[in-house]
This record gives sequence, C-alpha cells and structure tokens, in this order.
Amino acid sequence: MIALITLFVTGLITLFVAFTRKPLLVGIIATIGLIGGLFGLMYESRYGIRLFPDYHGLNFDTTAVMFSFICIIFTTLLVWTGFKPLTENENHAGDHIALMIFSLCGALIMTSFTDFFMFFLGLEILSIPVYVLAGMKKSDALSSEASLKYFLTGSFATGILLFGIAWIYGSTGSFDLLEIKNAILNSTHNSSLLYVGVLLVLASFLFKIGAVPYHFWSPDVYAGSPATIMGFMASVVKIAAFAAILRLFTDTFDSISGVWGPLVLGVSVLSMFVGNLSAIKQTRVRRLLAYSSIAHVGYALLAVVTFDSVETTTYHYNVYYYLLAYGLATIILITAENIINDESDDIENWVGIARKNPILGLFIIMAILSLAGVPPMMGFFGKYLIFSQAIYDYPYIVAIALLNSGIGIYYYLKLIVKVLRKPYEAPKFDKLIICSLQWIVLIISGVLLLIGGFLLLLF
Amino acid sequence: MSIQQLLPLLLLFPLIGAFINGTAGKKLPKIVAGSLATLMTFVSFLIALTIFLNLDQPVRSLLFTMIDIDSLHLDAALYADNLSMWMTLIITGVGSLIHLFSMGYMSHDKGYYKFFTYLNLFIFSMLILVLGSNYFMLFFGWEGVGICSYLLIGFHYDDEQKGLLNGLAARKAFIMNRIGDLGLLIGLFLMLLSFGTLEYEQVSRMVLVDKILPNGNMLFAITICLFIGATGKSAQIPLFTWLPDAMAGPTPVSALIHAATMVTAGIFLVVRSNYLFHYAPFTREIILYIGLATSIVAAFIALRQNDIKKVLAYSTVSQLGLIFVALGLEAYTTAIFHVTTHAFFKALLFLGSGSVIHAMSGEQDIRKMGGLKDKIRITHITFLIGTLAISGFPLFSGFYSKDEILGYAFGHSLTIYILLVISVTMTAIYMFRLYFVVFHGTFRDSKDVEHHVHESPLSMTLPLMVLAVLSVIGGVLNLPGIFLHGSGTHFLNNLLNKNVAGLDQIHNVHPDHTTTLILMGVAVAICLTTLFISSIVYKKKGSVPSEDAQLSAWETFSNKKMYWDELYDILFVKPIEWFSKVFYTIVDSFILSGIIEGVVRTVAFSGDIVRKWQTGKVNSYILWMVFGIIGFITYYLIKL
Repeated sequence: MIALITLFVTGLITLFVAFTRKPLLVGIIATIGLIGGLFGLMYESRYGIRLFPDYHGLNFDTTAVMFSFICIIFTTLLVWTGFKPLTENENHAGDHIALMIFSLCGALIMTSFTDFFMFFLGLEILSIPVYVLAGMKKSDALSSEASLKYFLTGSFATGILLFGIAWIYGSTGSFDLLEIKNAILNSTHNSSLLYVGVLLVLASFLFKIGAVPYHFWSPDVYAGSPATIMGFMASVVKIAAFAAILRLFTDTFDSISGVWGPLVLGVSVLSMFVGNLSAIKQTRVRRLLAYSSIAHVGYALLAVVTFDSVETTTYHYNVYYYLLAYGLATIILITAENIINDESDDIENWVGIARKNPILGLFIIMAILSLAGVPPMMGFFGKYLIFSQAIYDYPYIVAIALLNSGIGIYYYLKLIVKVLRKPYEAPKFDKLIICSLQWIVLIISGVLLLIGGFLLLLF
Repeated sequence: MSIQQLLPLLLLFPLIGAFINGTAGKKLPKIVAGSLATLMTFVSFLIALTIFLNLDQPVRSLLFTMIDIDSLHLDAALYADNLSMWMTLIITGVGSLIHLFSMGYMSHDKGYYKFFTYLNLFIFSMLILVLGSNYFMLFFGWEGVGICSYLLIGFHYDDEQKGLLNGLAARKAFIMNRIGDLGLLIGLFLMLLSFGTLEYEQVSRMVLVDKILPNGNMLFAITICLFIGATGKSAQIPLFTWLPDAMAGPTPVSALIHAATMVTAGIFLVVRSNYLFHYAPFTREIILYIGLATSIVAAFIALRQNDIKKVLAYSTVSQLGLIFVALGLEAYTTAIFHVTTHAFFKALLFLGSGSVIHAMSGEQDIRKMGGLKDKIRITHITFLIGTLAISGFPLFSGFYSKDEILGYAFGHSLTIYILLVISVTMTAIYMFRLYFVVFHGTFRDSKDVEHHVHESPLSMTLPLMVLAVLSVIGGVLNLPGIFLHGSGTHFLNNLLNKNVAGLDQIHNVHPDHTTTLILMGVAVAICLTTLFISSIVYKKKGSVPSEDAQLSAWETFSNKKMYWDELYDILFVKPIEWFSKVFYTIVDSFILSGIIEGVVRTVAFSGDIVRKWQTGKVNSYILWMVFGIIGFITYYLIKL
C-alpha cells in the first residue's frame, strides 16, 4: 500500500514538475519516486505493516510483492532507457513518464487485488495510460493507428470482462474472491452461469497477455508504438496480467480447473505455433519481437496449467522467473532499438551492430540467446523450470514446446547473424550514441541475465 | 622425500621439458633445447631409480579426483609397484640414451625443438600409461603416446619427396591404433560394468582375494577387448601393418617408440591384468596363436626386405609376437624379461641403423651399402653385438630371454615349440643377412657418398656403446637356475613376484635341467649354423640381395610383405569407400537433406500462411476474438 501511494504521488508530482520544462528534473524525481516505491514495498512486506487495517480490497502477500517488485524495477529500467525519446518534446516531457508510473500503479493493483471490483479498477488504470502512450508519437500515423487499434480491441475485451464478472456475480452473489472461492467449493452443483463467466474472464485475460486467438492487436500495436512503450507492454503489462491470472485462476477458480485448464493448454500450444511460425518471415524488429512474445506467452501459459496446488509458491515462482528472464531480455533489445532509433525499424538496420560497438553487440546477443533459451542464459533456466514441471502431466505438450523452441532458435539465430555480419553496403547510421543511463540499463539487465541461472542455486 | 612425493616428480620433469621446448624452444639454441630435454628425462630416470631401490610394498599417490559421482569414482593417481617401476626404468633409461642420440642425429633438422617437445611429451604420456593407478589413467597415457607417435611418424611431413608418404604413414598408424583403442575402451566399459571400478588395486583384490568374478562370457569379452587394444598398440595380427610404415619417422623415434617402449604397452596391459587372463583360458589360447602367427609371418616378411629399417621393423613385430606367445603361456615375468632385453638390443640396432643411415647421407637401401665395417668402426661393433643378441648367440642377453620362452613353449606343446624355433631361425637368418650385407663386402653406392661416410659424433656413439654393454649383460637379470644355484638366479622373476598383484599366484613349471640344457643346445646350434651359412653366402661369396625383378616366387611373396596391405585394401578400404559413396548419394544427399529441406520448406510455408492471418483490420481482429470466445463456450457445452 505504501508503494502504491508513493508511486501515485510520484506520478502526480512528475506531471506538475513537467511544467518547468526541465526533463532532467522530471527524470530525477521519477527515479527517486520509483526507488522510493520499491523501498516502500520491501518495508511493508518486511515488517508486515498495513496502512489501512480495515481495508481489504488489496492484499500485498508474497506473490503480490514478488510481482510488484519486478514491475517497479522494469518500469525504472524502461524510464531510464527511454529517457531521451520520452522527453524529446519538452512540452510533454512529464506526461509520458507520469503515464507510465500511473500505469504501474494499475499493475500493482492487478497483483494484489482481493475482489473483482479492485481488479477491474486495476486493469483499467493499467490499460488506459498505455492506450495513450501507444499514440505518443502524434506525427507518426502508425503510432496513432496502434493507439486506436489497442483502444478498440481493448475496450471490447473490457466489455467481455465485465460481462464475465457479471455472470460470476450472478452465480455466486459476490465480488470478493475468497467468498467466490468458498461458494464454488461449497456448492454441490455449480451453475453454468459461473463457468461461462469464468471463460469470459479468461478470454479477456488472454487478450491482455496477447495469446492466440486474441493476439491480433499485439503485432500492430507493438510495431506502431514507440520502442519504450512496446517494452512496457511486453514486460510490465504482461507481468501484471500474469500475476492476476495466477491469483484468479490458480487460487479462486482452482477447483474448476478441469474446465479452463484444457482451454489454456490449447491456447498455449496455438500461441507457440502461431508466434514462432509468424516470426520467421518478419522483416521488422519490433514485429518480430511481438510474435516472439506471443510464443513466450505460450510457454508461460504452460506453466499456469501445470499448477500444483500443494506447492503454490514453487509454481508461482516458475512463471515469475520465466517472465523475469523474458522481461530482462526484452529490455535489452528495447534499449538497442532506442539506441539505433530508426523510424523504419527495418531488421537490416541491425546488421553489423556488433562490429560498430562490440559491447552493445554482446549484450544484444546475450539477450537473444536468453530468449532462444540457450544455456547459460537465464531464459534457458526459465524454460527448463517450466518444462521440467510440465513433463509429468503433459509430456506431449512439452515435446511440442521443445519443437517450438527449435523453430524459435531459427529466427533468433538469424537475428544474431545479422548483428554479427559485416554490412554489405554502408550502413545508414554512422555512429551509435549510447547515453550513460542506457549503459546502466544494459549492464544491470545483462548481468542479471548471465547470473540469473546461478541465482536458482540459492533457492 | 617419501615415494609418494617422488612419484609425481617423475612425471613432472618430462612435462616441464615439453612445456619449455614447446613454448620457448624456437628461440633457444639447439644445444640448450636438446640438453634440456635429455636432462629432464635423465632426472626422471634417477628419480625412478631412487624409488625402485626403496620400494617394498606398492605405493599409491593420489594427484586429484577426476570424477566423483554415485556410480563412478575416478582418481588421477599414480601407482608404483615393481612392474610399473621396471617399465619406468626402461622408458626413462633407454629414453635418456635415445634423447642423447637424437641430439646428434637431429642436429641438422629445422624442427629440432619440436622434435624434443614431442619426445618429452611422449615420455610423459608413457609414464602415465605405466604409472597410472587405474585403467583410465592407462587409457589416458595410451592415447597420449598414440598422438605423440602420430606426430613423430609424420615429423617430416613437409619433406619434398617423401612428405606425403610420411603423412600417410602417420595417418595409417593413427587409424590402425584407433581400432585397437576402441577395443580397449569397450573393455574398460565392460570392466566398469562388472567390477564397478577401474582401480588396479580394487579389481585385483576382488578377483584374487574376494574371488568375485564376472561370468565366463563377460570375462572373455573383457579380456578379448583388452587384447584387441594390445594388438593395436603392440602391432599384432591383424593390426600390425602400421608398424613397418611407422619407420617413416626419424630413426630415434623408431628406436624409442616403435621398438623399445610404446609397442610394449600392450604387453604391459596384459601383464597388469594377468589375474583376469588367468581365468580366461580361451583368451590366452587366442593370444598364444596370434602371437605365434605374428612372429612367424613377420619373420618371413623380414627375410627379403631391403630397407634397413624395414627389416628391423618386421623383426620388432616378430619379437613382439614371441612375447605374446609367452603371455599366452602365462609366463608373464619371462615376457617382461624379453621386453627388457628386446628394449636394449632393438634400441641398439635401430640407433645403429640410424648411425649407418647418418653415415650414408640418408640412404636406407641395404643393396647400396656394404663394406662399412672399417669406415664406421664403433657402429659396426655395436651393431654386431645387437645382431648377436637378437639372434640368440650364447651368453648374450637375447639368448637367455628367448630361451626361457622356448622352454615354456616346449613344456606346453611340441608343435608350438617347433614353430617358434622356425621363427627364431628366420630371425637369425635375416639379422645375419642384414649385418653381412651392410658391413661386409664392397661399397655399392656412388663414390660421392662413399667419400662422405664418417663415424657419428660421440653423442650418438655413446648411447650405442651403453646399449651394447646392456645387450651383452642383460641376461643376468634373470639367469636360469641351471648356471647358479641360489640367490643370483631369477632376479627379475623374484622382483616381479614380490609385489605385483597376481603374479605370485601363477606357478609356471620350469623345465628340468636336462631339458633346459638340450633346448639351449638346439638354440645355440641353430644360431651358430645360421651364422656360419650366412657368413659363407654373404661374406665369402659376397652375394648381394637381388633386384625385385629377379626374385623367385617365395622371395617376391616375402618382399611384397605377403600382400597384407593389398588384402586389407580389398577387404576393408574398398568396401568402406563403396559404402560411403552409397551413403553419400542416397542417404545424405537424398534422404537426409531431403528431410531437412522439406522441414524448412514446411515451416516457411506455414509461416507464410499464419502471417496472412494478420489482416491489419480491427473488425477482423474482433471477429476472431468473438470466434475464440464462442470456441471456449462451445467447448464447455460439449464437455457438459
């Protein structure tokens, strides 16, 4: 709760400080606020303090703290890496960062809600700033298109969600997750109202994380939005949505997993195939990353299905670790996108990066290898955790997932070859300008990716 | 220092020598590089001698643990008992002499430092082979000497005329050895399977003390696999054809690796595992007959070879066959005895031939030599001693060791004895032929070459003289009981029986004194008769080996090495080439790459299809979402 309030206040202050038209000041205040929020989160969870003891709408339990923690860290990293593009227009320097922080508040609510009311609120607080941010580059038609598409499809999904919540309410008579859970457990025969409601809620979730067949918005929106915002959608929004899925489906709706489990499994397999196969022939980096993110959602959903209600924490931990690895790698690639800073976003622009700046090239290759799941990068261990958990229940699905990893390696390696290759003609960009904030982001993410696998040994 | 501390040092010195020469050798003056390598080997010899004199019970010295998991524990440890120390003494002792010889022999070579690097590395590997405390260490050394042998055979790969041939010879040796290595490796795995360990101490305790034995088939499989390994390294039928070709290497290499040390690795392996072979009588029979066949075949081929080194090479194969006969008869100490004396006189002969070749400006064909006895006096005398020793001239070292083997063979079966005698007779024939043709008669090459003929420098003649002395007196190491009664006899026998696992449990019956005397008489008679006839044919009549075209049928058969290479070419090389062609055209080009390209095309094709799903129109996106939801609910309804 302290974190939430800190972040909200930070967002407001950032918005007002922006009137001074001093981007640096905005950046410093945002950073202080974000780190303050991080400390607030840790302080609260360490000493078990509740700011409003009588209020039960939000509950920062272990899972919530874990997910909130990386949401805040990722937002901080993204603010740093995108500091220059975000504050390019002095008139709106504060807006973008403030919107990201507001959206982060929504993400925190998404990780910690205890009733459907707060959940819906969180989802909207998370989504609406992102709709705006997607259209940040007002002069760019693609950006506006992305914003509008996201908004239209997003509102449709919201409608479905509300519809679903209404059905659930109709069958259980409550918004509170615990009461709903008890109602499901206690009734001998649950009505179809409940099931249909759960499936509608599931559909809207799958939309938010971009799983097939609710994924169509994501390539268009990812490719159209500014790189930093794309990174935000791929990491923070997705993590928050997964946190909510875990909270709802593996806790509240756990007892009816027979109904939604196979569907999620099917969606997981579809997402892997569609994501990986579509990525093969992409010629634009962000589109490629969008499809690759669809595939990664597929792998992560596999972990959601192989849920073991006895060892909840381990299992939450698998999803968490996987998303952490995915987010870190994405942030590195987003940083590279920001550094290259090219409107056309053509994959050919990546040719020869490693020859121009070997260290940047190294970080990029590390990130790609992590996404592809090559040891010793963190992504490998993430995949390993999920597959080794899933293999007991669904060996065939794991085989399919491995096959998909194989397909994935194809386009990831193609990207690596591009990064390493000598340019055939004189490259469009002469020199890569990397500011110190971006170096910090690269180093933090890169080192974490590299040692992430060994961190597993500690737990 | 205790023996445990000394053991690692033994290995360390050659390794240091190899390291220094390998890294900085190019910049060092030749004399420094050569002396360094020689000194390192000699220091090893001194350490070995110290350990040998102080060794009572076997000593194990742990270096580090290589693998430690539930089912497998592998140590890198050294193990010294009288067998391994005896081998170490031969390796470092003869090795030092040959290093010294090489300093003179290789002095005009531009790869001088490289040569000594390899040579020291070889000594290191060979020491690991004999001193390792388990079969894995043995295998490590086994491969190490294999690679050094490969590098040294092909040492003159850039020679203008014979470079390609040298390279091919090296490759042949490597590939032939690979077959044997595979056998050894399988043997080790089987051993691990049935004993759970590769440590000599543990295996021998299991077999000898606890009497835990795998069943007969398994034991046969293990021993035969070990023996296949031995046939590769020790050049026995069917894997012997690489050794004569290996003479493409510089002569000191032939002396050290392909006569005195490396080729005895197989014998060491069998003696080390004697307790296993003891319970596998069928394998022993196979060893016996393979050894016998090798001995006779190689001796026959040697009869009509005209390359001085080829004669010695086949002679080595033949002698190794003889030793395997001893192994097949379970006369392990006799085998080691003959290994020792053979190391002396064969190293002497090879170095002597090196000295001859050096004097002849690189000429190796004996038909062009002749009358060298007065021109290179020391080489002549020492070579003569070597010849007498290998032919079994009375009181020379070869006489005793060979007689022991003959004695056991006689005790086993008369047929084998007679066959061995034939082999021994042929040995004497080709050795005297070699000696007389090279050193007697008239010089047959051009005047130019004759003018250059000179005695080698001291660094080359000194090893010759030392080895000559050893070849003469080597017999005292294991005097038969017939000459002396009491403590002086069977020195090596007692030494090895003292603390080498398994050997003391084998009781070979020595033939009684009368038989021994009769057998000795036969041997002496054969040797002297051959000497007499040879001297008449080659010295008095002055006959010279005829040109290839004039050879009679059996001579051609011998001269052409009994067509072994051609046989292998038809049996193995041609079919394999045919198969690989078939597999290349059908399996690889057609099936495999068809599958792979097919997969790639399918994936790319489906990628195209999936990509077209993305229309870019929001209404179609929402339509698909609705389809998705309808799909979900349909699924629920069906399931309901």
